[in-house]
Amino acid sequence: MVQARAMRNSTLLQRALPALLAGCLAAGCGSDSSTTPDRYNGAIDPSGLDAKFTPITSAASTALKALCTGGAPTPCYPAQTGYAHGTPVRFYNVLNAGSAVKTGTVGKSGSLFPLVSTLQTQVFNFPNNCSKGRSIDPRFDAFTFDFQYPVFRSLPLVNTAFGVNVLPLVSLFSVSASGNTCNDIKSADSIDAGDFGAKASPAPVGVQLWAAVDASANFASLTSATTPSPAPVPAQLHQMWIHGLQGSYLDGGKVPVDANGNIVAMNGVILNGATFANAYDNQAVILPAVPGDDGYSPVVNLYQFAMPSGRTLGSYTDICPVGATCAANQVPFGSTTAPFNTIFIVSPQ
Amino acid sequence: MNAHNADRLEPTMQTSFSRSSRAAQLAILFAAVGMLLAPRAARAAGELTGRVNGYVYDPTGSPLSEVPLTLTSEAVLQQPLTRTTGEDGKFEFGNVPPAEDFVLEVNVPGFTPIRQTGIKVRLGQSTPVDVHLTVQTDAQAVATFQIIEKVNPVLNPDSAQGGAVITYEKAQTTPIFHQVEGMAQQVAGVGPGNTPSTRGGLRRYGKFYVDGMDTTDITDGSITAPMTFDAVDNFEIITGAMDAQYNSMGMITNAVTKNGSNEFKYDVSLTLQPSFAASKSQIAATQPAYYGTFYGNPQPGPDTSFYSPTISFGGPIIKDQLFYFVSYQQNFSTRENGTTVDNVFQNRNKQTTTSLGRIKLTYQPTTADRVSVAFNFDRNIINNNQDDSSVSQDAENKIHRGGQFGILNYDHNFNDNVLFQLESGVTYKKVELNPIFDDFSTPSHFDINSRTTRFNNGSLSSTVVGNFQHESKWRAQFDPTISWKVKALGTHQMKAGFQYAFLYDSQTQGVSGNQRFSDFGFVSDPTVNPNQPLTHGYGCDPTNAITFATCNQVTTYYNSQLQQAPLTTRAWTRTYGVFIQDRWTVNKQLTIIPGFRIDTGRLQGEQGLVTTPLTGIGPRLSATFDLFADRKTLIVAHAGRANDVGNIFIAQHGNPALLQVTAKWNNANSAFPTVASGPYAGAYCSPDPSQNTFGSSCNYAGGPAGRSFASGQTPPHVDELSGGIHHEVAPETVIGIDVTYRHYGNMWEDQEVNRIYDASGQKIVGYANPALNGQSVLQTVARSDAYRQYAGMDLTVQGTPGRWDLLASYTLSYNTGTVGDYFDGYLLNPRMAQFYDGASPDDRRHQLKGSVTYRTAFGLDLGIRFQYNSGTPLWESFTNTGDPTQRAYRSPRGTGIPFTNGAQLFNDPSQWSSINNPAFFNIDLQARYGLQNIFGLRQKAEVILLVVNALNSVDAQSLTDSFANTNSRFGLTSFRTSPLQAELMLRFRN
Repeated sequence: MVQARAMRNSTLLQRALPALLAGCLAAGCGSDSSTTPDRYNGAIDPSGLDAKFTPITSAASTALKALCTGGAPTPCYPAQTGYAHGTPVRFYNVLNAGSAVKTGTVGKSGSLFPLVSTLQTQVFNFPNNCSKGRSIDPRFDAFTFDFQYPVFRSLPLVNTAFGVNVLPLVSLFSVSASGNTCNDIKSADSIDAGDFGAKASPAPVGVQLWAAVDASANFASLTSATTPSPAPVPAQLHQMWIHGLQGSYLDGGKVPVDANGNIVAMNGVILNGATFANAYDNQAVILPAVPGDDGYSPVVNLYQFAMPSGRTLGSYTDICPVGATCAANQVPFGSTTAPFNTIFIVSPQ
Repeated sequence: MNAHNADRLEPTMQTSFSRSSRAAQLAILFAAVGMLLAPRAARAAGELTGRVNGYVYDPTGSPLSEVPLTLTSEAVLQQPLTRTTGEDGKFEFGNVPPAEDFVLEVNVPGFTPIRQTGIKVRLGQSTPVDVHLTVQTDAQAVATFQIIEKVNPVLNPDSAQGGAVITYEKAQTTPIFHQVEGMAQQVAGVGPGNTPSTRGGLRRYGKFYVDGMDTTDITDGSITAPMTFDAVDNFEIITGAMDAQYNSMGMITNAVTKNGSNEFKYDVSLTLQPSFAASKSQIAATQPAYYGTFYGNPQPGPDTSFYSPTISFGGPIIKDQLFYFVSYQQNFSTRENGTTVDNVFQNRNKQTTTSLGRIKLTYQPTTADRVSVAFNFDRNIINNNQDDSSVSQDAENKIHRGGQFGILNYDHNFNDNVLFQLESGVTYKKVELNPIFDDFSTPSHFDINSRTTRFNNGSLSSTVVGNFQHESKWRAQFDPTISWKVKALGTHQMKAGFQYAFLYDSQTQGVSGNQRFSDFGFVSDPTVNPNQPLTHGYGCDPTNAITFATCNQVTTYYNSQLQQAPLTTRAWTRTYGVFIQDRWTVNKQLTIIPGFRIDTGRLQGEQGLVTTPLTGIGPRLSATFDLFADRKTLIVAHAGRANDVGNIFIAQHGNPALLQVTAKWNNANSAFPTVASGPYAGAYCSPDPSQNTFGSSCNYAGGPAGRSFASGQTPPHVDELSGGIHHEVAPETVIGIDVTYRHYGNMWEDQEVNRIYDASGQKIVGYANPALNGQSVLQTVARSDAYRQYAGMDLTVQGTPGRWDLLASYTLSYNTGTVGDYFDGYLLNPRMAQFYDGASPDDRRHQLKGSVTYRTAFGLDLGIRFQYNSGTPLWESFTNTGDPTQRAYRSPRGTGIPFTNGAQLFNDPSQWSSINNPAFFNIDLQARYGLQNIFGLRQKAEVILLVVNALNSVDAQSLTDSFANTNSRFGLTSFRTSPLQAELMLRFRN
C-alpha cells in the first residue's frame, strides 16, 4: 500500500503566506475573513459522479450506446427528440437516459416531489457580485474572470449518501461580497467563513435544474440529430466550483415551486405502441410546453398513452387538454393512465 | 540502474522497509547523535594529482626560509622531488600522484635531520605537513632522526569542494559490486544507484571522468564505457562547491587509473556466483500478479548466476621512463525472473555478457614531462532486457552496445611554479536497442486493460517512441590548462584553462511495422498451445471482425518525408569554456578560492542551429578558515553557479521526431478512419494534417513541424550556497556538518502551443492555429518556472582511526520543483501545470549510509555497508483521455488520494496526501582473508566473500502510482529488491 501522510506542501505555504499577510493587512488583522483567492484545484473527477449523471460509455448496453451513434461517439450524453405543440423538440434527458426517478417517499406526505428545503445540493449563485478581471486566454486559463461561476456545496457523487434524492435539482442562495474578482471564490467554505465579506441569503431564493456532467464527454446536438461528431459543446453547459475544483453542469432552467414549497412538475405523455416505449426513445415523449411557456417545468411527469393500432411513434406531436376536442396528432390527455415516470430535461432556453 | 551493468543488480534505491523501520529509525537517531559534525575534505577539481604542503619552523616557532626539502615515493615517484621553503617558511609539492608511501626529508645544517614517513596523498587534495626543526645534539649528529607518523589529509584547507576520495584499498574492502560507476553512491548527498541524482539535480547531470577525460554518455548521463574496477587507483567524488575549472550541475566521479611502475605487478581474480549462491526471487503469494512478481508461477525458483574472470598487469617498458598497464574483464550474467503473461508462466532469462578492456602507457622522459595514452573498450549485450510481466516474450527487447575511448594527457613543468597540463581524448559509443527477435514488421499491441504489450516490443521508453533505436555517440575533448604561483598578500596558486568539446550523435529510430495498436484487451485463441509463450490470440485487426471489440486506436509512424519508415537524425554541439581561478592563501588560517568561468554552447541539428548560442557565466567563490590554526577545525563556505550550455540531448531533441498519426476506432462503422484516395489512400488518417477530413478522430504529434525552439533562452543553471564545519576528532578521522542550498533554474521543457483544452485538461476543444487543426505543436523553452530546489544538511564521518576505515553520512534534504526531468510534461498541458510543483521524484528526505571496514591483525578484513533511504515521492496519475501519451493529475506532484472505504475521494482536495514508495534498508557484508601468511607466499593470495542484501529482503522498492477506474494497480508493487546474492572472489596479486 502506498504510504500516505497528510500533505505538507511547503510551496503552497510559501505562496500562501505572503498572500495571507496581504490579506491580513487589507482586511485588518484579527478579522476572520480572508481576501486571498481560493486555490484552483483543477477539475472535478466526473467519474465520481453518481451513475445517473455519467455519460453513456462503450461499456453500456447496446440500446443505450445506440443513442450515441450518429451524433456523438461514446462517452456521450445523447439528446432525444420529443414533441411539443406539434413540432419536434430536442432535449437532454439528464438522468442517464431512462433511469426512473422514484421520488415519492420524500417531501410532503403524499407529494411526488421534494420540498425545496430537502434538496441536498445547495448552490451559491452570485454571477455579477464581483469585480471583473482580465480577459481570458483560452489556452492558459481554465476559467473566466468576468463573471462568477456558481459555487456548489456538494455534488451527487457515487459515494455520497443522497439516497433517492440524487436529483439534478439545486436550491439557490444569493451571496453578497466585496473586493472579490470574479471567481476568486471557489469554495463554499470560503463563503461560510465570510471571505471577501461574503454573506449568503438565509433561505433559498429559487430552485434550478442544474445537472452536473462530465464535460470531457461528447454531447449530442440539441439543434440537429445528425450533427457530425463531436457535437459542439451545448450552450446549456456551464461552469461551477466545488472545493476549488472546476466542474460543469447542464442548465435546465428554473424549476417552479408552489406556495407550499413543493416543486412543480408539468405533465407530459409517453407513447406506447406495439412495443413498450422507453423514456429515452425518440418521438416517444410529448411535452405540454417549451421553455418560455407558462407552466413550463424541466421536471416532467410522463403519463402513459396506449396508441391505437395503426398509429406509430411520430403520429402524435401534441397534447390535447382534458375536455377539449383533439386533432389527429394530439394525445387526449384524459385517456392517459397514471404517471409512468418522471424525467428531468434540458432543452434550449 | 545503468543498463550497462544490468548483470549486477544491487538492491539499492528505494525499497520496502516495513520490517526494519524501527531499527532504521534508531540507526538514524544514533547517527544524528553520534555524528555531531561531518567531514568533507576539500579537493581541487579535475586534477589527477594531489599536493603536499606545509611550513618549516625553527625551534623558536618562527618560519624558516630557504630550507631544502625532498619528497620520495617508491610506488609512484621514479625520481625524488625537491622544493625550497619561501620567505614565509612555506613549501608545496604540487602535481603529486596519489599514493600512501611518501617520505619527506629535511636536512638543514645545525638542525636535526628529519625523515617523515607515512605521508598519504589523496586525489585532488592537499596533505598538510608542518616540520618543526630542533637543534641537533651530538648524539644525533651521525644519524637521521626518523619520525614515523601517518599523515592522512582528511581535512583540506585548500578547497571547499564537497565529496570524498575513495582509495583503491578502501574500494577493495567495501562490500559493493565492483563497478566503477557505483562508487559515488557512497558519498553524502548522492542518491542510490549507478546513475544517481545528486543534491536535487537530475540524474543526467552526473559526470564520470577518467584521468580527466569526460567519458559521460553524451545523451543520458550514464557512463560511456565501463572499465575494469581493478584498473582504477583512486575515485574522487565531488558533489558540490566546485572550483571554477568544473562546469557541472551534478556529481562528478573522477577516476584516476593505474599507470604501472618500475616493478612488474599483476593481479588475477575470479568472481564466482553460482546459482545456489543467490536466493530465489520468490514473492509472497499475497502480492497480486504484477511486474516482477512470481505469483502463482509453478516454475522452479528463478536462477541468478554471475562469473567474472579479471586480469590486470603493469610494469616498465623503459625503466624510470615508460610504463604500461593492461586490464581485461569478462562478465557472464544470468538473471531469471518469474513472469506471468496470459497465464503463461515462465522463468525469463535476462542474459548479459560484458567485456571490458584497457591499456595505458605512461611516458616520463624527464622530471618535467609526463605523457599518458590510454585506450578503453567495452562490449555489452543484454537479452530480454525488459524481463517482467509487462511484456510477452515476443515483446521483449535487447541491447547491443559498445564503446571505446582514447585519452591523451600531457603535463609539463616549466619550473617549480608553472605547470602546463593537457587533457584530451575521444569517446565513441554505439547503442542498438532492438526487438528480441529482430522483428521489424509486426506491429505491437498494447492492451489497456491488462497493461501488457504483446506481439512485438512497444515503445522503448516514455521519451523514445520507437521500439528500435540505433545510435552512435561521439565526443572529442581538448582541455589545456596552465597553473602558476604568484606572491602578493599571501600566496596565489593560479589556474586558467580552455575547455573545448565537440559532441556528435546520430540516431535512427523506428517502429516495427510502422504501426502500434492500443487495444481494449485481446481475443484469446483456444487453438494455440497455452504453453507456447509466443502466441496469444489476436489484438485489434481491422480486417477481422472477431477482434473489433478490442479496437481502440492505432498510431502510424512517418519519417520527415511522410513515408512509413524509420527516421534518422543527427545532432552535434560545440562547447567552449574558459576559466580562471585562484587559491589564495591569505595566511595560515584563511584561504580564499575565487574563480570565474564562461561557457557557451552551440546546439545544431538537421535543421541547422537548434538554439541561439547558449552562454552562461559561472562565478565561484569559496573560502576555508582554520578556526584554531591547528589544522583540526575547518570552516568552509561556497557560492557559485554552473550552466548547462552544450547538451546534445537537447540538440537531438530539436530534430524532427517521428510523426505519430493516431486514428481512433469508430464503433459506428467498425473501422479506423481511412483515407479513401490520393497519395495516402488506405492510411489510417492522412499524415498531412491539412488533409485531415476526420476531425478529432485523427491526432498528430511529432513530425517536422511538431517542434521548434524558442530563441534567446537562458540555459539551465544551478546556483549553490553551501557551508560547513569539519573537525578532526581523532587522528585521521573527521566529522562534519554541511548545509547546502541549490536552485536549478530554466530547465528544458516542451511547451504545447496549439491545443486548447477544456477545464479538465482531458479534452481538446480547439486549436490556437486553425491551420494546424488536430496537431500538437511544441515549442522547447527554458523558463524560469521550470525549476528544482534542494535544501539539505549532511552529517558525515570519514577517516581511518586505528584499524578502522569509516565513510558514513546522514543527509536530511528537501527536494522540490516543477521538473522531474527535462521534457517531463510540465508545460504540455496548461490545465495540469499547476500540479507539477511539489516534491521531486528524487526527494529522499532521509539518507543514512556508510561503509565500515575493520582490519584484523591476522589478515582478515571485515566490511559492512549499510543504506537507509526514506521512500521517494509518488504522484497519482491517470490516463489522459485527451492525449493518452500524457498523464493526467488531480493533485500536486508527490501526492495522491489514499483509499477510503475502497474508493478514492478525488473530488475532495482535503484528501490530498503525500504518498511515497517504501523506505529502503539494506546491509551488505564482505570478508577478505589473506592466505599468503598460511602458505608463506610473497604474493597476496586472497579469498573474498561478498554478500549483497544480507537480510535477503525482497520488499517492494517502488509502487505503482497510476490509477485507473477499472483494474487499477494503484499502490501495488512495481519493482522489488533483488534477493540475497553471495559471491566468492579468488584473487592472486603481487
